[in-house]
Amino acid sequence: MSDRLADTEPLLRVENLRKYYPFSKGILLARTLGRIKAVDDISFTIRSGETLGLVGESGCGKTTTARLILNLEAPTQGQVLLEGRPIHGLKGEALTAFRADVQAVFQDPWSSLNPRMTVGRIVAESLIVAGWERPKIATRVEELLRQVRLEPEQAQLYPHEFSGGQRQRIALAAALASRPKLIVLDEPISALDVSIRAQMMNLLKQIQAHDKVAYLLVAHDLATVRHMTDQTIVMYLGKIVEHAPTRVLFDAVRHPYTKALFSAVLLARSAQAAEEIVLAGEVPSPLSPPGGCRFHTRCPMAMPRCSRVEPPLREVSPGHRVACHLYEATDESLVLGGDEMSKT
Amino acid sequence: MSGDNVLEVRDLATYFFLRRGVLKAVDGVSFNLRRGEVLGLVGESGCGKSVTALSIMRLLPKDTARTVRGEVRLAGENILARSQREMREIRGRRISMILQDPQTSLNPVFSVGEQLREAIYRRTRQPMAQVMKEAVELLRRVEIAAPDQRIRQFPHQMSGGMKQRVVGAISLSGRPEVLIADEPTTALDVTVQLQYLKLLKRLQSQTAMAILFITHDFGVVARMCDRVAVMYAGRIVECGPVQHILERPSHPYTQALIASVPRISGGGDSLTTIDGQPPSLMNLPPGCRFAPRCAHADPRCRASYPSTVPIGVDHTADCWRLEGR
Repeated sequence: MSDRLADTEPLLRVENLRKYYPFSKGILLARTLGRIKAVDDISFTIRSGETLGLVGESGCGKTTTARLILNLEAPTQGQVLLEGRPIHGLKGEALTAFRADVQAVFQDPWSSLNPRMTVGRIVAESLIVAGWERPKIATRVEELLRQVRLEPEQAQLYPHEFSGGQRQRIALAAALASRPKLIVLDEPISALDVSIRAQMMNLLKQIQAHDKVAYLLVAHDLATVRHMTDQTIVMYLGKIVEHAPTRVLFDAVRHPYTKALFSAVLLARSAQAAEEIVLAGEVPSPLSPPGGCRFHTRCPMAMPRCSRVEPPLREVSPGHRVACHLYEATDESLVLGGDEMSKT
Repeated sequence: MSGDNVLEVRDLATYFFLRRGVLKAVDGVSFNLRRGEVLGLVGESGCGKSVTALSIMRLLPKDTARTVRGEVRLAGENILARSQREMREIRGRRISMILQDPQTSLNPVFSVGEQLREAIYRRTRQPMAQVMKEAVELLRRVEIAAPDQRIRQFPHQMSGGMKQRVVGAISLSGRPEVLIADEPTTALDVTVQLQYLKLLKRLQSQTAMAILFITHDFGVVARMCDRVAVMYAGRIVECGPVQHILERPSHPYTQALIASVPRISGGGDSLTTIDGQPPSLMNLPPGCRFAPRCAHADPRCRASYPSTVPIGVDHTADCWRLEGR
């Protein structure tokens, strides 16, 4: 899926994106105490028809990244470009067009669907906003419900009459209505039951094969990411620590944090990975992230310099970027070449 | 062999009496929990695993739910026959429980120390200085760093993993024979989940306490449990040693459930799915409850519920297809 020409503009380009939230104390005469660096200088691209997985624990900035790409938040610095055009600052018709191009499915189908609207109306909403004619809307809604394996007659029903898995498929139908180029999937299956998850994952893949829509999949489950994505980004406290094509990453994990994440995955098979890393402590508060490498306080491989110098994200093999001092000395040539090429 | 079993559940049935009808949340559940073992209770939401736990603890909402039949034997004695007053002496001392969300199981307006002290004092009636010492000791046992400072903090000053350790400390304060852990790591991050599971295992090996571990995650089962019981629509459909169930599941539901989980090692473009939905617990099918979704169902499956068939050592399943094999 990613074997296209390298010089074609990707669908989505995220450049040096930062989002800092000020936090203050007091109500009147509030003092600003500092800034939470929720997302701190991240860059990546998504090509059309491709899936990028964003993995990390709570507080790593994956949801903030998703909200920035959805244009629900304005970045502190950096930009997001859809087909070469910056998305933040769009107004009027251009913003409406952007909303049609980039859609979202959120984690909880119990709160993301309006309980007072029929399913047909929920799915039609974006078409009504786009000013479609009534008969065309009805045909499209029917087509969409079929696409997500629901019956067209079910358009008359209300969300509470559906199970969690069906609701998530309704949310997907609503997201697909405007024929988006990118759908942000924020933990789309974690609220679903195990036996329903597989249905949803298969459906998402079928729709992608058919419509060539790109996905940004925010997830914490590595097996889901492996199954669904073409490239994977691992985040820790607002930074990308590792980024690679999914197949490459799952074959050769480099960053100690990613290794720990893999080790923490509890396999249902008895053949547990030989190397077990149990991290000490929990993710530090993003209010005061550790200096140097943000992971050094929990890293089993930490060296003295890790607490002083922040490791840059550098390419260790083609397409495989890692932010870790461990991989500096090992292959000098690649490091130098990779640094120039990735410019991050 | 009942001497080995610390907890025996026999034909337990708990129904909810609602205006719309009778909801059979748990309908004929039987299992044994042996001394010092971890038994996993696995199933999807609505299968009755949490109601089973609440029925054992006798903590059901009393205006709607009632245990209509069955026995829960704790060290040979049926605790369903005990009064609520007597149950208060059993809860916490002989059977304890850890719930999913530490955010809601701790009281936000009391410090961690006060909540621990309450649990210890109720049991021991010791002088306060003694109670304090024991509280700090308990926090140390659940591996909280700097326990003498942490004990003065309030729940909101702690991380999720730490709060769940405090809940664990409170549950273990009475040195129970049985611990019921209802999805204790579902609200935690993955790296913290692994820490917590390892801690529970260590604590269990020190005390020979038995754990009924409720989860929907086979990965957690593989890591934690000795045996596992799989529930579907209010019944246990398969029960056996973890290794057997994960590698050679016998019941079609267990097979489908395990096959529908993606593997981290990759392989396969499409996942096995289970079509349809679990049946409504207010309108259960007459035969096997999985029959409407089962690829192998025949008329017999739809007509009557299968008996429990022994498959191997310690391994049983409720399925007509396995009978006489």
